[in-house]
Amino acid sequence: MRKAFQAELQKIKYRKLWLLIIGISIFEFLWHGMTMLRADQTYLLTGYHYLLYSLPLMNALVMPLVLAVLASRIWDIEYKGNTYKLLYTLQSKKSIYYSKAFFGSLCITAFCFLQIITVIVCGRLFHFSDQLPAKHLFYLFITTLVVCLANYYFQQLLSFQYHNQFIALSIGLAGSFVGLFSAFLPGAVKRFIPWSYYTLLSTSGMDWNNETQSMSFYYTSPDLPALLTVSCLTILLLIGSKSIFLRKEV
Amino acid sequence: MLLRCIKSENSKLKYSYIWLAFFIIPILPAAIGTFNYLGNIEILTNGWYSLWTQHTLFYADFFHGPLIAAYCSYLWRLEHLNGNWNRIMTVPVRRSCIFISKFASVFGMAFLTQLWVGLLFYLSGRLAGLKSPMPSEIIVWLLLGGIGSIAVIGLQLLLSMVIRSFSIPVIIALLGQIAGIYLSSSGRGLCYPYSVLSIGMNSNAMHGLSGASLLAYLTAVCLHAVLFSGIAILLLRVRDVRK
Repeated sequence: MRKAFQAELQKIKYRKLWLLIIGISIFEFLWHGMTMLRADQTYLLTGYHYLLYSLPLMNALVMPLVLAVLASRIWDIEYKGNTYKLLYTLQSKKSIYYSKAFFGSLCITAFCFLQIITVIVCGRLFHFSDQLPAKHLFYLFITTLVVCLANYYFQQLLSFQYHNQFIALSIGLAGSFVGLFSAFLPGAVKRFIPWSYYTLLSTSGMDWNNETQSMSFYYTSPDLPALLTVSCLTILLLIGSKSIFLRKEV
Repeated sequence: MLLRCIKSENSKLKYSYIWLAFFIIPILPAAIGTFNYLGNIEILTNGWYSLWTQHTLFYADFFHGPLIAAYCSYLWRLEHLNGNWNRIMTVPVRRSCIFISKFASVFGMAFLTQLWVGLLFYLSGRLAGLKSPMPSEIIVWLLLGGIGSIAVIGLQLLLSMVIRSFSIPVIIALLGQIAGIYLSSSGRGLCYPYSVLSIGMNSNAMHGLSGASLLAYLTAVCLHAVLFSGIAILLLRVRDVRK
């Protein structure tokens, strides 16, 4: 397994996947940084609240496509080189699957860490008045990780199942927009849309006061049934996509 | 020669998966916009114009760039595979013809997308219970949006040409489109190719383009298209193909 993982690292070496993860993190940092620079002082009073509300929305819009690209870059190298037949003679199908799935999971974990660092750096840079919400940052890390993993395992299923990566990428793009759409839907409906779990599992809410034209934020407790649902979905997708991969003819 | 190149580019689009994206993706902003309109109907009281703001809010600010990027990436995909770059650079066709034919092909698709978006808008309006006739300005805004897509097409064709990946230009387009929201709101939308479409489609439905603003818009679109196309054709002429 270690050798299989090392082989994956060598294959990915020049594909610049690190650029994708770091680039998205930098983009999110710049986006929120620009918001803070243009905002008035009241935003800075509840800066952490705002970030914990905004980041899941941003993740719902951007991450499905990013994860589709990540899965595509990790899995399509075998199609491009037409090396599946050769690989199956050199190592077990299971080790190929697990090494690629593990590598993708590692990239996602790195992204989740970078996101937490983004929040902390923004807080220090813009001198937020509210206290650093360590507990809610931990929830953000866990919920983003679990939802991204579910998304990634689904996308990798599409990437290895279809030679033409356009299908996987189109579904990723549609998932981005469905994720954005789902932010406007009631909670009961959101539970049936996998891409909506980014916003469903958010522990920061927002109230809009129409008279004063101002926002106020509040913390909520984590939606444990939803977290359990998406965790089960993640495990099902991991096991299901593995069994489909093992049965796949090349 | 150019017409033959355009014909050959169009033949790549026959029976391709790109038409699925063409039909399905515009349905998403139409659905989101209509739901948003119906959910806020007590505030959005301007009938067709209010519905237009909701449709274009999602289409022009989020969906359009990645969709054009997908078209451009698809057209360059054949050249990126199987050493086809070597073939295309040795055919007796001018480099500018290669690029302009792709440009024309994507523009055709973008124009058809605008027509499809218009049809979806009309159907959404009827489903949302709008009984009055659709305003004729919507057709003008759709046409201006189609012209505005030229700015994004130039940039995305350039990106898809140099980046030998289908998906990276699509991500760049999505992030660029999101960043364009800031520039539009700060009044500098014409300087940024991803913001130009939302200006042309009048996504805030306050007032359409006319006179000096229309001239500025058309000039900005032409400048963007010429700049990015010029860079791409220059790269095709001077840069050697790498395998």
